Amino acid sequence: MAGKNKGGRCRMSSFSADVVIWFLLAAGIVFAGVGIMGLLIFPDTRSRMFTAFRATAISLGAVCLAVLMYGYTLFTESGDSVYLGLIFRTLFLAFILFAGMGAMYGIIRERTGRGIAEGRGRVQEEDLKNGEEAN
Amino acid sequence: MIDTWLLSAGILGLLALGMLLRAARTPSPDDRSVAAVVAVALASMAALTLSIAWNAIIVTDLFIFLDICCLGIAIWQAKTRGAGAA
Repeated sequence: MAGKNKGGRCRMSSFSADVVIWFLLAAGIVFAGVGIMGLLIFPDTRSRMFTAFRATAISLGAVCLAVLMYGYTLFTESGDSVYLGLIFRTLFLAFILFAGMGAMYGIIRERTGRGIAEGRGRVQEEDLKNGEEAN
Repeated sequence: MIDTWLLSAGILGLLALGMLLRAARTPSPDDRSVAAVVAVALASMAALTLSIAWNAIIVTDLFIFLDICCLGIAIWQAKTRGAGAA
């Protein structure tokens, strides 16, 4: 697995860690693609948002786990504090992104839910009106 | 041999670019917000993997700052638009 120290020499993590990191990176890329496909193919904003945010959150989790695994493996092998810094930065970045995505998810879900409730209300009023006219 | 981190960064960067184009072209403001936030998340993942490939952790620092700015603006815009609509 690539990654260079300050001297420019490639550092390798252990083979088992490499396999897990490859798997996590592949999963992250696949779920990012799923998120984009969801945004392109679904018919309404609510379903597009559900798919895009959930698939992207899984992708983000997988990529962050891969980076954390890489940082932890090399930190335990070398004891270099650069990898500890990488771990903290990754955790902070993941926190910011999850918080931002969660906030946006809540805002748009509330707005689209309000639109659906208003639509249902209009349909019920029309049904009542039609029923009264029929009677 | 292809660097796994660099390859991942390239693919995630391309996906982020595609999502940015989607955000620019879509007419619905809600869809634009969703696409923008997903583009920011994908670009951050690309930057994270790129920082490992290049051994330049400053890329991650830069994107943490950019994320805070972009997500803050996106959430503020979505909230003010919602208040205007209500």
